[in-house]
Amino acid sequence: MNNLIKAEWFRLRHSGSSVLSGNLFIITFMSLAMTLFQFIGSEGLDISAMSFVTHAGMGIAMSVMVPAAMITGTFDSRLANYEIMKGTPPLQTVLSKILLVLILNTVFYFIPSILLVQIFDSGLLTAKMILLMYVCIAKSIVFATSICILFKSGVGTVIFVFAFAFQTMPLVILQYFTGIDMSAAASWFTATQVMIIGNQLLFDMEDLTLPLDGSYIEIKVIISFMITVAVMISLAHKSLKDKWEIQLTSPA
Amino acid sequence: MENSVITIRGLSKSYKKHEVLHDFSLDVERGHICGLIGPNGAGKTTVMKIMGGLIRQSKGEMEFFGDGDDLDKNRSRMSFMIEQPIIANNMTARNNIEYIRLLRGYPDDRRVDEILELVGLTNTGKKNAGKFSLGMKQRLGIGMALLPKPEIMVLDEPVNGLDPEGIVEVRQLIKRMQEEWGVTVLISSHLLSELSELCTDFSIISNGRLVENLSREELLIKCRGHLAVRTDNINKTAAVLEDKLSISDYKVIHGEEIHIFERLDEILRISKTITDSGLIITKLNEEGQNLEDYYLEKVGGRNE
Repeated sequence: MNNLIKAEWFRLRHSGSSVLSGNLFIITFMSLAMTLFQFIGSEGLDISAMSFVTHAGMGIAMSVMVPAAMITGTFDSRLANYEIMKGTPPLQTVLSKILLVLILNTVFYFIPSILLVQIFDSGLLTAKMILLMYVCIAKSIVFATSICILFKSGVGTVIFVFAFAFQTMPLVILQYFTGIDMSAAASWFTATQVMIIGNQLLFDMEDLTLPLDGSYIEIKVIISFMITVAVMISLAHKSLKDKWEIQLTSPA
Repeated sequence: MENSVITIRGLSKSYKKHEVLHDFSLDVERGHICGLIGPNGAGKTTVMKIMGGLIRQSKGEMEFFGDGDDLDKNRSRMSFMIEQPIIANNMTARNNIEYIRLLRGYPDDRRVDEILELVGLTNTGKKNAGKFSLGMKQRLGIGMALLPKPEIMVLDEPVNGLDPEGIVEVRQLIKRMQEEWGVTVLISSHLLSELSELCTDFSIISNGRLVENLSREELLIKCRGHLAVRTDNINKTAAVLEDKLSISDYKVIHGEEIHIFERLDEILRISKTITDSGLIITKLNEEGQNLEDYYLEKVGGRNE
C-alpha cells in the first residue's frame, strides 16, 4: 500500500499545475471561502464555531469531491490499470485511495478550517465537535471514493455530490407515499448530522421547519460511519475483485 | 507442457449474449516469444486483458509460472502493455518511468536512467509525454513495462505507429530481452513479417476461436517448399498424383490448387503425367509459404 500512495503522491506532485496546485487551491480556498461566506451570511458578521460546523456541508462536499476525483481519475486515464496489472490486492487499492483522499482533505481542508475557526472563536469549538466533524468527513470520503472505484471513474464524485445534497429526498418521497414520519431517519445522513453537530447549542431544533432529531448524535455518526465503511468498501472491493464492468463514461 | 510459464485452458469471454472469445487455450514456455496472430476483433486484446486482470473471463482457467491459485501474486512478476501505452500525458518521460518505479516498488532509482537510455528517450528533457509522437509513446510504454525486470512481458501491438527504424529497434529490444534476460514474451502484432522473424511460437486466433498453436519449427515444416499446381480438374489431378505417381504428400488448397510437397526435383515428370492424363495445367510453380500466406490460409483470407 505504501508503494501505491508514494507513486500517487509523486504523480500528483509532478503532473503540472493543472492537477495538484490547481485543484488543491480549489480545495483549500474555495471550501474555506464557501464555508466562511455561508456562516457570515447566517450570523451577521459574528463568526462562531457552531455556525461554521452548521454550514460546513458545502465545504465538506467540495473538499471531498476534488481530491477524490483527482485520485480516482487514474481510472479514466487508465493509469490505475498498472495497479491492477501488477497484481495489487483489490482491498489495498481501495484503502490506499481512501487514505490518500483522507490525507489530502485533512491537510488542505480540515486542519486549515479548524485553525481558522479557532482564531475567530476559540471558546466554542469543542473536541467533540471536531471529532464528530472529522468522522463525518471520513464517511463522505469513503462514500465518494468507493463510488468512483465502483464506476471506475472520477466522474463518480458527481453522484456523491448529488447524494450529499439531496440525501433526504428519498425520505421525503417515502414519507409522501407511505405516510410514515421519516424525519427521525434524516439524522442518520451526513449533511443532516453536520447541521446537528453545529446546532446542538445554538437553538432548539424542535422549532425548525424541519425538526432535527439530535438525540444520540454521537452514536448515529459512528454507527453510520461503520455502516458506510462496511458497505461501500465491500462494494468497491468486490467491483475490483470481480472486475465489474460498469462505467459512467467511455474509457480514455 | 512442463516448462510452461503461461498456461491458458478453455478461456471464453461473453458480453451478454455476444461471445468474443471461445474456448481459447495456449501454452508459452519459459524464455519463448509467442506471437498471437489474428485479424482485428479476433480476441487478441481480450486474451491479454484477461491475463492482466483487467477483465474477468466467463469460463476457463489460467496459470502463471505453474500456479493458478494466486494469479495476482504472479502478476507481480509480469508486465503488460495492452492497447495503447498507458502514460500520464502531463508528466515527462522520466517522471512516467519514476512513477512506475515507485508503484512497482523497484528500489534502485538508477534503473530510470537505464530505461530511458534503453528506449532512446534520454533527450526528451521537460517535454510532457502527451506531446510525444506515437512512436515515442510506444517506446515509453515499453520502457515502463520493462522497468521492474519482469519474467513475462505481454505486449499488445508494440510496434503500432512506429517508423521502420523504430520497428527494428523494438524487435531488437524484444530479442535482447529474450536472449540476454530470459524474458518470456507474448506479443500480438499485425505485422506478420515482424513476428515471423521474432517469434519462437505462434498462436493463430480468428473470430474469438483458436485456429492453431504451433512452434516455429512446425511452421517452417508447414510453410516448406512445394509445387503449386492448378488444372481444369483438381480432383482428377489429385487422383492422377496418387495413382500414377504414388504421391501422397500433397494438399488441396480451397479446392482450386494442389500443393505437392514431395519429389520437387521431378517437375517435368509430374507435369507430363498430368497432361498425359488429359488435364490442362493452368499453373505450375515451385514456391514456399511465409507466415502471412500461412495465416491467410488458416483464417480463410483477409475478407473472412
